[in-house]
Amino acid sequence: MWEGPALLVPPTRIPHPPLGVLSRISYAAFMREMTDEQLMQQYAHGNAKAFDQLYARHRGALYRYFRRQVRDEATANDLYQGVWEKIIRARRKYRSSSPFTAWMFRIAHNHLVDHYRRTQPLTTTEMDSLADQRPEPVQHAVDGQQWQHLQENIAALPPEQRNTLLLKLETGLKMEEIANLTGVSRETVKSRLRYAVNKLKRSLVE
Amino acid sequence: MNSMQDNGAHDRSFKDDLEKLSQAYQQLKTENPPELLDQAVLNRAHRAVEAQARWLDFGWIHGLTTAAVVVLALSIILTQSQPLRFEENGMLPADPARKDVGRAKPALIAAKAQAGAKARPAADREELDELPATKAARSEHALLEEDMVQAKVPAEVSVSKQAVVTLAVESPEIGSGPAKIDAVKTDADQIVAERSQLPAAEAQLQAILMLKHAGNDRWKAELKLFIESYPDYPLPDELEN
Repeated sequence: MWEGPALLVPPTRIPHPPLGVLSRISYAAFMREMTDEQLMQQYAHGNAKAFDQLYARHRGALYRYFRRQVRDEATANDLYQGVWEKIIRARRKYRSSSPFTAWMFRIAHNHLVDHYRRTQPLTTTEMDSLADQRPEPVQHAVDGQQWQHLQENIAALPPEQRNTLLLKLETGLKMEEIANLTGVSRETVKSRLRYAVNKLKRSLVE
Repeated sequence: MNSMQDNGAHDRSFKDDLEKLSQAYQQLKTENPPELLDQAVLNRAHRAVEAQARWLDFGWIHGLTTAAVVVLALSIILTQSQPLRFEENGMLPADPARKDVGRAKPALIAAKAQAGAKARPAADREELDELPATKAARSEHALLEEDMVQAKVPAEVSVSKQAVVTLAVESPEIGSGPAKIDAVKTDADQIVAERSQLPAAEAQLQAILMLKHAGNDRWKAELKLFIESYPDYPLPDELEN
């Protein structure tokens, strides 16, 4: 289960793995204690296990971000894989001074915008089809009507509001960070969130 | 004041709603990428660092290769610059037609020319003492001579006393021993002197003849100077009169 990003961790030296006889269990535990930023730095230095840990932390959030933005699953899969591809390629450019989650979702946001530009026009068609999505059978069984209702309402939001809301709900980033990530002001982010929350609130009450 | 309170109340309400929505949304975070997609991403990530590790492991090879290329390039540049230095020193006329000689055996020709230019009596004994070494270079001397003839290089430039002595001493008709070597040295002096005069005199005669054919009266003055310089040199019939 993803436990949220480590946003307020100051850039520190990457701790060395414990010396001596390293059991797999202790090493995995050691990796779990590392912050996202430290793991990314480790990966940039060639530690593939660090990426495994990082991937495990963020796979769900990133996947859902795309799954709820685009129409079909195949496109969401492509976008998802494309973002990880970009992260892998840009591993050496990453600086631990910026939070990994914000960095990753900036890449994801730009990737999504590129996708929208390629598949113009993005209008109500995209949103209508998003609203037509049905949950997987397992999810439906687990979460029932609530899951479907909330997802449909999120999908029905205008793209900017939906994007801002999903960034907030999936990543827990602050409004300033979302503003920085999406290239708009903090007030715009707040306004978009307010509209989105009000719409969802109304629809959920109904 | 009221509007500020309203804004504060709105903000609190918004934050509460957002918090409730977040809690509701947390329960819906069950959707995850398919396993195949996970495998594809992880494989790609592992391949990327494996390639990086391979590059780092063999990083020293790249350094070594770069050093080898630099050394090779420098040696080529130095080798190519040998004929140029040779011509700059005035040891060989900078005639384009003779460049092939320079290219063919630049180091060899340069070495021979420098040896000829620096030939001194004091050095002769040393040269004779080093006969075994010169013997080994016999084939090179022969090649040098052949090249010079083919390229019509003036003999006074290319033939050194050392070369003549070396060739003469190595001749089977001449034996060995200090007396023989001295005799050979004397002969070599004569050979070098003769060979060094011949082409220069011939060239001057040719020039005088050309002046005469061109109807330039200067040829008489040049011929006079020539006779003063080479009193015993036989003149062609055309200039005898």
